[in-house]
Amino acid sequence: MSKKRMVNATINGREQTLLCDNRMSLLDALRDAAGLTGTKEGCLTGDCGACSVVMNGKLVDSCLVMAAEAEGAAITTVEGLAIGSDLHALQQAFLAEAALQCGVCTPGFLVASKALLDRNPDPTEHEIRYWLAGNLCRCTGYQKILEAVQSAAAQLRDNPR
Amino acid sequence: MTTVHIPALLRDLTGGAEQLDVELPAGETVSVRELLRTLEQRHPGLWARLIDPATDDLVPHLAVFIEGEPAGMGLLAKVGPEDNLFFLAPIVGGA
Amino acid sequence: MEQQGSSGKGKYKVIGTRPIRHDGEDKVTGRAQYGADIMLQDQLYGHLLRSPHSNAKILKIDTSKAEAMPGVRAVVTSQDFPQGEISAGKKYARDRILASDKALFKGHPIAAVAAEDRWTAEEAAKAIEVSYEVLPAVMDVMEAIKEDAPLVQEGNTTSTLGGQDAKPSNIVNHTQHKRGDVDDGFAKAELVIEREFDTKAVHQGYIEPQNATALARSDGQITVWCSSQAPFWVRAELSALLELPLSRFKVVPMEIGGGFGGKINSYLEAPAVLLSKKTGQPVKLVMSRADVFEATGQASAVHSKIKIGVNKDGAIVAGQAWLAYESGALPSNWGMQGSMCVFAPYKMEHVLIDAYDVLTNTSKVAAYRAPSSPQAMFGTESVMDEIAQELGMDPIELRLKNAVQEGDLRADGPKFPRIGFKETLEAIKNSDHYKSPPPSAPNQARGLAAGFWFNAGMQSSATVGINMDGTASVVTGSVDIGGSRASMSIMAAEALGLTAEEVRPSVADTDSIGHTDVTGGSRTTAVTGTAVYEAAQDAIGQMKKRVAKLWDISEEQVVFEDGAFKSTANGHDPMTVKELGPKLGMTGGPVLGSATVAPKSVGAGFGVHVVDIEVDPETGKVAILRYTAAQDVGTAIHLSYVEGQMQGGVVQGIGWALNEEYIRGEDGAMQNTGFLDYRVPTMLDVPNIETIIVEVPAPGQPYGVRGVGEVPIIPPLGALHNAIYKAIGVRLRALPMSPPSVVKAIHEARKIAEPAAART
Repeated sequence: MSKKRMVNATINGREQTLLCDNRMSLLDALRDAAGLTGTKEGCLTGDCGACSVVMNGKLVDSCLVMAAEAEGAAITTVEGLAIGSDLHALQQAFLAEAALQCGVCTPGFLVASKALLDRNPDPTEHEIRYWLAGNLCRCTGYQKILEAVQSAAAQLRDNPR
Repeated sequence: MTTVHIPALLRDLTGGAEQLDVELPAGETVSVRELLRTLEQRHPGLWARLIDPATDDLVPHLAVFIEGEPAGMGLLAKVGPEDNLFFLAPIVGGA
Repeated sequence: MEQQGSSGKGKYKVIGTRPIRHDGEDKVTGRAQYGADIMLQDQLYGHLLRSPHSNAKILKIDTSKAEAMPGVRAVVTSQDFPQGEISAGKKYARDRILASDKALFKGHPIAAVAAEDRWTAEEAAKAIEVSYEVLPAVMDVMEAIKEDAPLVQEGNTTSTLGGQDAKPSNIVNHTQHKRGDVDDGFAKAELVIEREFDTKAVHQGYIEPQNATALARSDGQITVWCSSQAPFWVRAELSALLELPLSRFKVVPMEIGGGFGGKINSYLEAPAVLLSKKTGQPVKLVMSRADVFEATGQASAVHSKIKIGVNKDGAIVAGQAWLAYESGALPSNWGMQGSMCVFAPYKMEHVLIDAYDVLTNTSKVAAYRAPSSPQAMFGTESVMDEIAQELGMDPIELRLKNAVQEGDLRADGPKFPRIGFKETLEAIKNSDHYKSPPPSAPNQARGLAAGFWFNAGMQSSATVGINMDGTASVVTGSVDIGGSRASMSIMAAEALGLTAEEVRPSVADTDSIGHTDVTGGSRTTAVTGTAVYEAAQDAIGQMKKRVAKLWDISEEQVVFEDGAFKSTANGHDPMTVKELGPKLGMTGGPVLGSATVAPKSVGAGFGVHVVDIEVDPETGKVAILRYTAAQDVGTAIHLSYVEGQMQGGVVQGIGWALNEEYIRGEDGAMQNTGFLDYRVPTMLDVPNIETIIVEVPAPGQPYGVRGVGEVPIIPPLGALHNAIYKAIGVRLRALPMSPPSVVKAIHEARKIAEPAAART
């Protein structure tokens, strides 16, 4: 029996066919099969959020999704946030507000923050903290991440993409 | 006067003295090693407790400090009058 | 409110601003390459077999079944290190990486496998047969320190300057500091408080697990790609472990996802090299989260006794401390360092400090942000608070009365140079937070505590290259964990009269820059910054010669001030570095300034924090209402990252104080080896952290920089403890002050308060 399978998915707007080992998670497939290493591995038990992606409109921990489950799915990763060389408002805000130190949790936070702002363009501080509680950061103490999300939200309300 | 601060656990050899003063000839500096040899004559046993015979250097986890500064040359570091000499653990940090 | 730095005060042009970091775009787009992201042609995947036992003799290792599995390319054990007589120290160093005769802790690596994919490597590791003779294990410091405790290392005798204690025990070191006569001091003191404290092991909790990829070529050249805080130290470790010269190795620092001291020791690098040697292919190893918790380096659990005697006016007369630090299964000396921190912020005439490093059957402990100080100062800050309470004194006033300043002696002896403890206390005293009334609803309260840590010196190298258009590059060997690249370019720009955007910073591998010590110890901005400054001065010196040539005057007549070359003779308009750039080629060729420095360490950092909390008496949960952290950083180079270091350290301290601990079962094994149950603070657990940057420039550093990174983790432990006491009337002297502990303390306090009749 073949230990690999082809998985067809639309990743960051592009249709791709990935050759995946049956044992691969979606995280493995993105990193090793698609070569998109922006999504990070932090714990493999769905507790840290470093592997956050949006799959069919839903924010998920890709380490808990099997690659096979991504068949036919639309997936957004951190690599899909910028349009060409136009950084997303969140990316710009994270830079301007110094919302990253080591940066390893940043892709997860960006994807999760975008998922929040897509459904709630004007979140309160509590709503932001609650939504992002599934993403762990050990470096920043979260303060500047909050400020970056608030800044990006304001920016996007004034200039929708 | 060069002052050698004696680690607490060595003070049984110095009659309880917390520090020992050594008079240096005017304008001269002396290496820490030479200083310890001088002190060994006054207080026998100091050398054996401070120096590891296998390396002929300070015992592990101990470094030469002049004031609060680790002395890069260790036992070869030169001390002069007005210097305060300590033997402390070198600091390694974490963040 | 955003704080202004030195540039706002007109002192510097670039220092104290907030430029966008140069590596930022790659990090927000996912392009940045962290250690686990590397993908080399024909790379193999490695996996470690780890001991299931906390203490066991290894009788036999049979790797044959594993080696026979399809897809498996190599298996290595400690036998693959160069064999022959080695010193005890060398044996410890090797045993830490791969066990030889004993498995010393659960998770101790026994063997390493390389295979075509990670699942095959994992399956193969399971197929390795090991026979163990299980031995009694000891996990707890206070159990291990007993005379009759099972020995973790049979040959260990206590290293003490008091003469080597010949009887084997689990005590690695006994350190003592003594000044004056504490018995006399306590007898004279008008108030003496003596208390006992306990802290559990905690982990640095970096989000990126350890990783290493190695390629050992047939010509003997070895390249290692890893996420490490200290690539030059990794190189040195590999050289020692494998008995090969340093020149055989190139260590390439990949981007690193957090370290906090936990990525200073190498773990996977040597097994990766051994596997690559056997297979001739690159081998990549990445740790699982459970392995990170069990088998890297946690911060020592510490048991302590703190006794302080004061006069009625609050002046400290005497201080005594007894500290026992978990060492793990291999010797370490955090107790020695803790002994130098425990009373450091306070003047004391009479001092006696005894500190012990104690072996336990756990992974060897490692550094964690101001390593040894949080545990030591937790007790001190609690006792100081109790003293303030007893004397009816404001806690800041008590500390101001005893605060060390320049010229005062540290408890272990040396004199403090210029420091800013008093200034930091004053900053909190005058803060909006402290001046506002403490929260007064039931179960609400305010607490305060201080923190002290050294700033390490060590060695750094830098080069500053001037480009043909007068822009510049700055290259250092300091791994960028938190944005230090940006600070290097700021400091170079300040020296050269350029903007931060005009200076391109990079972090070099061990081939491309001079030896540079660890990114840690709160030394990076200060010491590598000094190297950058000196390298810039070297470049300026070379450029002066070129300007002299162009202006046909002597070199002595050229000065560099306000960002331009000027002539002390007449008739020459100032020339900036940008203007000189295009003329470098014609006046002698490229300009490259370089410097290697081993400067004096810049002198200590102090922090003072205040926190308002509310305790939920039913669940024991502590909600943080408001938090302010003040710290003397010398000079803030990049304001945003100074604030970020403070905020990040505070939140780690909050986790340490309120939730984080190694929970061990009956068999001693860690039960909470994941982020679900090893509970670090989430975004929902913490409020805004206000930061107050105090700047008392450090003597001897060109821009007055002190370190900032480590101190912020210390005060939260004492501040939260002191606040909880005020809120519920009980002092929780054991960390963490987690909800179950708080609830238990509340119930016990109620029992004591209830009249006896009501209890029957």
